[in-house]
Amino acid sequence: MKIGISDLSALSLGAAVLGTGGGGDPYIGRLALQRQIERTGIEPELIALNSLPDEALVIPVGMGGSPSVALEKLLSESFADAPLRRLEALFGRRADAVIPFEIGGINSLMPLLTACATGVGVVNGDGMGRAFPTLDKTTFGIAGIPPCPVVVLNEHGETVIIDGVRTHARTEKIARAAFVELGGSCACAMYAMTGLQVKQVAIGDTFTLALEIGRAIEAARASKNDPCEAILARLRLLSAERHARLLFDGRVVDLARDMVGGYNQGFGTLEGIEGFERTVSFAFQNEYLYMRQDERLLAIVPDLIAFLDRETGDPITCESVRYGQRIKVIGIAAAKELRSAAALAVCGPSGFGLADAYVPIELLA
Amino acid sequence: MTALRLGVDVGGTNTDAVLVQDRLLVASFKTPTTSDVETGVFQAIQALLQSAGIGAHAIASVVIGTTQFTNAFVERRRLVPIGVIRLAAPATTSVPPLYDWPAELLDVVGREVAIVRGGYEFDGREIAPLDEAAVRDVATRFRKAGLTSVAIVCAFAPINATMEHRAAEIVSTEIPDVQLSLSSDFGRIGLLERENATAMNASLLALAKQIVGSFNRALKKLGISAPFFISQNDGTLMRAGEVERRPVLTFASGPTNSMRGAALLSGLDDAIVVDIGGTTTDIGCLVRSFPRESALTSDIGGVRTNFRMPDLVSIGLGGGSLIKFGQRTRVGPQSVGYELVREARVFGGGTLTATDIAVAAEIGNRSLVANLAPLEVAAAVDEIHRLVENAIDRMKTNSADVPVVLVGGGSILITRPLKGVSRVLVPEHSAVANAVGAAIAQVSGEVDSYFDYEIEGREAVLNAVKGDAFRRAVAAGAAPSSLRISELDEVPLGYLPGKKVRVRVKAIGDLDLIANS
Repeated sequence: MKIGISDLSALSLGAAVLGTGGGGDPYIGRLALQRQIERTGIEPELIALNSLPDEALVIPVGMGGSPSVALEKLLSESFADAPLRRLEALFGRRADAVIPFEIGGINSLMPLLTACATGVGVVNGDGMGRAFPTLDKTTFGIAGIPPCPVVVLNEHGETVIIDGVRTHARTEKIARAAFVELGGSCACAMYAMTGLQVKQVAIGDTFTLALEIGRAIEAARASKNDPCEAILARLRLLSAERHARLLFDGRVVDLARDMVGGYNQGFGTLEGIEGFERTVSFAFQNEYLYMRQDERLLAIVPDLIAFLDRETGDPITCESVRYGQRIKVIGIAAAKELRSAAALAVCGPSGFGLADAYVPIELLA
Repeated sequence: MTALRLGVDVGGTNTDAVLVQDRLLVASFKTPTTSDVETGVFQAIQALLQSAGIGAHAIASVVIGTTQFTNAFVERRRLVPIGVIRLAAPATTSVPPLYDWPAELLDVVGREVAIVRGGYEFDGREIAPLDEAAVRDVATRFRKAGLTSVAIVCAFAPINATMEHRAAEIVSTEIPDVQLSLSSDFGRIGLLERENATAMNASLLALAKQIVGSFNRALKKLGISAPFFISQNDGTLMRAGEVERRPVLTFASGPTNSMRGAALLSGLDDAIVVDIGGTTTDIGCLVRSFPRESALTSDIGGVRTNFRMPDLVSIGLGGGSLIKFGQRTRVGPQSVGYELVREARVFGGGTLTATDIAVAAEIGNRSLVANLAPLEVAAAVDEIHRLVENAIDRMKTNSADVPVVLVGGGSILITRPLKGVSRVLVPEHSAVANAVGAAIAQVSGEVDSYFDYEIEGREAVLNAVKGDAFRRAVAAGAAPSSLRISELDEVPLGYLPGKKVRVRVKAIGDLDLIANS
């Protein structure tokens, strides 16, 4: 399957929904990709997980740093190929494919940009099936793939290579220091894998998922139907066993934000409208973490919680959520790869300092 | 005697003029908008002053609200070709300026863009020193292409505008008669949206000069020497000279003035305003007498911008809405629009409209709608009220009942109490609410920038920022004694160490009529 210019609006819309409030605005990535396709004439080719050769070299690429800074610095042209080329040089061979760290937000589009600039294929899959605040929360890392060597670079080509670090969390911390010194918005490549490893650890078909969600919203808008209902109907069609439902319909009546350790954290309250009663509370740390009514959980990380404008279906990020907004919240079961004990230890509630035990969203209905 | 304020609204259809004193409407006059703006404004004001028996010298301030610039941009008329220089390379290069503009707009404004080395980082460092030679080369290219309107946009200009000013000097030297539009004048963080606003502005600079010139000539002919302002998006004022530089800031002033006028005419500062026209109903929310602003990016004429726009809900209900009976009674969104006075049954036409339902249900001469079944009328009335009630509910921020101010010609459609509404006010003179909103406009100053609370301390930052916003408001003409902070927004910056926060503050004050006269 190829990604053409006509797919980009649906893809970036779906990627923003899967961003669950974080992941950065895909709009800039979409424009960069559209221009790259126009200029090179190359439409990125998606490779299904099961058709990857075992011995292939697959390199995850994406952006690191602050999405807010990226709003001013956009993307440098060099970000398309430089991280891949630097990591290839360390391995002494060309990569066969790239893959996103996360399908949520702008990072879903970076490997497509790389594909367009270099001709490599893009694995139809990713390491999160959503977005997370840090790059140590991937199924790659959870499965024990070493992150190093890591390439971090800025628009000048100033490059930091991190190697020899054992833990994912510490690699993330060192990379973060590099991001700041390099200007706050960088391109990076890490977690190089073989094709066999990718098949074992990546979450498959997530580009397809993002495209389908985006197309459902666009079709609903065109026919004046409810975009949130359309997403849910499309998800049921895609995978009957994967649970997804409308968690709440309401308006933001309370919101408190703070900055802790570099993360955009906050709490808020929605008050129900049209059939939804009373209030629910929610929390976020770059992405939405949980939603509950009184003490009863409605959904909790790593299951996906997406805030959408209740009229247009536009995803509402944690940075843009505001008092008074009218929002529909949908919950989607996380990919099964995120629900193992090992995965939950990293990206479940305890990975975000929450005391709650993880309960799958389908058991909270 | 307290100051008499003259407000004029130059709309697409009508030009309205009003006199306001002590927040009371003294006189009003309505006349069709002329293709020659100067004549229309002159005639409206002249007739107003005559009818009120007031001399030109008694006017303390003049405020004009106009949709001319919005209309010109949306219709791609009277725009000039522009050049855009972005100072940010090697950052940002994957998305050049104007890349996301519609093709038919680019056919009008051209495709002359450049990205040169320069720009700032989030912490104030330089991305690269400004490449002055490159700016000079680009300016030469623009001059040879015959361009006289140039937009200059620097990465993180809201933090530091120095490079933009330096580039402006260079361009001015190369193109002596150039008109410049700098992104640091359009405040906000978000390069693409700020750049779009700056470039839109550049395309309107020639028109701005003409329009402000014709307003000035009209006022001069009338012998009015009072200070003259134009109202901007957020319901506050700009000096007329400022509009020549930044016409784009008037873009959403129409709906804003309408809501501000509704606030004054109704005496309510916090209310939902329901403006029912012929085809659509616009519903907005007044918070402390100003429209609540939308948090989403707004798309104007196909271009994504960062403008401060009122948060409005529009539904397809108006006096001309078509009625269809069936399993479910439907009202709108199709409408006979301005043909209402010919097409509607009550005017002798053959089409059943919402206005006919209102007449049958409640008011006026029912003879022309006497054959309607009472049950059908009741169903249509229910549907009309349900549509408005739902839209009001969408604008509310909590479940408490709110007061509603009803304006516009279609307000007769509301014939009974509305659910979720504490009371409905239909102010007199609501037909000139726009001009009244212009007349009472205040003055603002805004700051939007990044700070580090860990280094500078939150309180120190907020005090400094408020002081800056106050100074900007005073520079724009506000009376220092009337200043207050109307908005304060702190958004922490993700993924960076420390406590970096984006702070946006707006100060508002009354127009200082003594200092200005």
